[in-house]
Amino acid sequence: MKILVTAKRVTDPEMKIKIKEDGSGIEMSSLSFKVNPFDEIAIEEALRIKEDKGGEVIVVGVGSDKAQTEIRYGLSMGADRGIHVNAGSDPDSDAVARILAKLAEMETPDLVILGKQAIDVDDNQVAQLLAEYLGWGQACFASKVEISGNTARVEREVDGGIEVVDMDLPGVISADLRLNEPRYPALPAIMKAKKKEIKKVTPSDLGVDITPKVVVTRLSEPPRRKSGRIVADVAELIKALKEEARVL
Amino acid sequence: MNPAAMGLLLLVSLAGFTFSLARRFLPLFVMQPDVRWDNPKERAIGILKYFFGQLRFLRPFERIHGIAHVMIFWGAVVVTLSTIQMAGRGFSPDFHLPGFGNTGLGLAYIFFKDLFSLSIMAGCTIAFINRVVFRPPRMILSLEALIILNWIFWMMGMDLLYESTLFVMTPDHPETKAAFLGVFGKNILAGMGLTADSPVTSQLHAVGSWGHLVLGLSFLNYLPYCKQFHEVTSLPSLYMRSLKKKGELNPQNLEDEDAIFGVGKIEEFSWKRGMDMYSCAECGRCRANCPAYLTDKPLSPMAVIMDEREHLKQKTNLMCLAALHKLKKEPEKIQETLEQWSGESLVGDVISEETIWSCTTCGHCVSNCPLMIEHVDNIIDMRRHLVQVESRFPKELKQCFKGFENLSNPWNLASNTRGDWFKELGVQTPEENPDFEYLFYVGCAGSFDDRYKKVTTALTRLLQKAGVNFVCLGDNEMCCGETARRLGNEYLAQHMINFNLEMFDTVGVKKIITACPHCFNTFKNEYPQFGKQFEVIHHTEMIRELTRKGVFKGGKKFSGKGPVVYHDSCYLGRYNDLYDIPRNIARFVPGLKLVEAERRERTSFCCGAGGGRMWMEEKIGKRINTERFEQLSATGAKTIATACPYCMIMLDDAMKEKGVEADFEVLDLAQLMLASVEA
Repeated sequence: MKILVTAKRVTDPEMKIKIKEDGSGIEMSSLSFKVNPFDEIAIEEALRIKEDKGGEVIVVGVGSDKAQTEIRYGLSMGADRGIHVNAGSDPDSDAVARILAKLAEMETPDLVILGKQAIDVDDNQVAQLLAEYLGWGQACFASKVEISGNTARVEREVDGGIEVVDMDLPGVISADLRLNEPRYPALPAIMKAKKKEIKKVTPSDLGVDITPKVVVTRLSEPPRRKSGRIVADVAELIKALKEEARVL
Repeated sequence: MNPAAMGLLLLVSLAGFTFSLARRFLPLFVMQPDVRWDNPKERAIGILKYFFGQLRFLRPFERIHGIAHVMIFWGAVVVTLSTIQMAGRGFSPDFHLPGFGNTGLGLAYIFFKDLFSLSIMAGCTIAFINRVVFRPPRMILSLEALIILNWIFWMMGMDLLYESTLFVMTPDHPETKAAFLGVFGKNILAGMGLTADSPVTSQLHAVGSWGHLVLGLSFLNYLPYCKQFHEVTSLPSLYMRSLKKKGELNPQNLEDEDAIFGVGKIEEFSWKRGMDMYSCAECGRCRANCPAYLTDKPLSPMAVIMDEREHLKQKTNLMCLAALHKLKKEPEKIQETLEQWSGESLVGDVISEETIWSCTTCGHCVSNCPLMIEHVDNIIDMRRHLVQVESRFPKELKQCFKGFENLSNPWNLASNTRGDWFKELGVQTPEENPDFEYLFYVGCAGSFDDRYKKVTTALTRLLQKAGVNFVCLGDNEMCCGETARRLGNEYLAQHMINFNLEMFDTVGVKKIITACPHCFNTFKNEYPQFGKQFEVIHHTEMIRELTRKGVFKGGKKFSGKGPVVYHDSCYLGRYNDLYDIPRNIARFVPGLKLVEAERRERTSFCCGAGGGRMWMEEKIGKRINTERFEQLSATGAKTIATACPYCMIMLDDAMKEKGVEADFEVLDLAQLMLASVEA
């Protein structure tokens, strides 16, 4: 079983994000980065499938030069090799999907597993677009994956319950939060990962035009919440809800 | 005496003893290398202090038993010569060691020999009564210990019988001039009607001399199989004791291709750990003040060493075989032989994971062990294995490690808000004040924990008041690595340490003030392992120094809840010997009544947060912080003064859990000081 997984470099979700003064983006200095937590879950799932069925796990990272750190993290978790698509900065979702589609054509994996979304921009598009470009089946928001023969049985987290789907392989799966608990890389694996191969390509090598189709024009902070107020009694509360908040 | 019988006895017993020694020491050859013979002068001084001087037996917690040990120890040293002499008399009745015999020296020796046999018998009696009647909680009532005490006692009894009957037979024996005990025995025997030529006398004489020798030589052969083996190993063990600073953990070389990242098998320990396992005499001094043991956690430092020893003994055959391969220079067969082991595994089976994670690294065990066994390093060795090799640890630690990795703090709070606390205080950064004298390294707790931010603020105000030229790194500060290191994540710790060293170098740091004993200890004692030495000052030292210089004048009267008890932080006290300075700060505040807890200073009781325990759940037994809070409140104190963020948080939590925050207060010394000097 050959599995392609993604490792996107994202800002640490715990960091305090500041928007640039002109609103064109976020202030990147003094931020720390990590592998997208959903991608980490995807990598873990790929490794578990590999440990069960054998095969190979390839980690793909699309982004700047620094995105290699996150690929290396995937390798230290136990993936076999990496591919770094150096796009200078983060391309938009569609470009990433087309890059991954090209890589999938070249590598011919049985399965592509991605995080359901990256926690920085929360677009949640790549898995779906990728399946479309490849003409493969997709099972997004997976909370359980079972492979038998040429089929993946995937439990999907949908509103109000779990949907169980059978998907032919090759196919695309996107990982939801409860799919697994990713491992903490052990030191021998970290040492070994330092020597694993990361193949470097650029979007133009793959023949993919990454001119964005979607451009962020402005970012702004949500309006600050006004502080609450303590009312004297229930009557005043009802009055305020009726007249000021107009919810009653 | 029959020379042939004596020769046979000596031959058999010495051959047996040699064989046993080989079985004990061969396995050490396949354990890991560790240089323990550098600095011979300091090592020799240690032998005088801790071996001959028996310094660690004259300390709090059951002092009487310690004296009994000193009596037996010194007795054994003196009496051994006489035993050799007695064995010689098996061949020639007048044998004596060179210079001894009917000489001044010989007779003086005989006097002391009698004195010390008495001392041994008295010591054994005290120890026996102590074990059977008083049963101090640190000890186990083991049959082995009682057998050993009897064995030693009767060895001396036989010697006395030998000497007394000798004097009955030869009343004008020259030794009668000095051997007061023998003469006393002779008089009793004579009073019972024994004469020089009665056959009973010579029979008793033979029983005495053979009895002493048989008991002695069989005891020698029993030693390698019981806790008394420390009679053999203690001298070399103490000589080869660790000379590193109390507060530093063994550094680990993680760069090597075939480095051992942690100890998962007994042979992965340093050979000295193996020696220490043999040395443990099961006295339990390590656990007399062990916070984990005393609150019913599965950890007892003594049990760890004893269980490891038992495991080592089980694996002895294989390890001896492997050692022979090593001596025969067949390296490929060493590993092959060791891999045949199919018994219990060291980590998990022999020493449970709960045991390994229960340690707070408070260091009491190490500082109190008469044989200087390094329990904390031993446990950290195994933590390193669990974390670095097997990636197996309590699940709550994953969040903590990730916090260190990504945000450089275990609270998992945004690292770019680390400097937010001083925004209003006018503290400068190195960019704003490149000519600073001190770096005030705030630490994770001081930057992120609301309770400790108040301490950080108080200290800042004190430093500003005193006109100290200092800076803080703000968002550029990173965790010092202490906690990750004690959790066994050496790789992560070294990453942080190297980052800090580079940054300190860039900024030009020479003197560091910290408000956290853990940062303090690591900067002071562990950073030099990585090639950099700073002048590291704990905030209590800084405040004390400023006070001494007379910077703070006319203290305001103490207005808090009194009296005040100071709780010693392990990493400030036990690890760095700062006991008086913090107390002197409290004494500087007029009207403050300082009281002391029973467990204090060197035998202070940990708050429960050290060794990364702060970041783990405490599900087994009584909570350590509750136990400590009860000990402290038993003094009648209403304010608990601390000098460590972990202690403060733990004791504050214990106070709140008991619901007594209306009556008590937990304050840092910096806060007490500020309240007193603020106009």
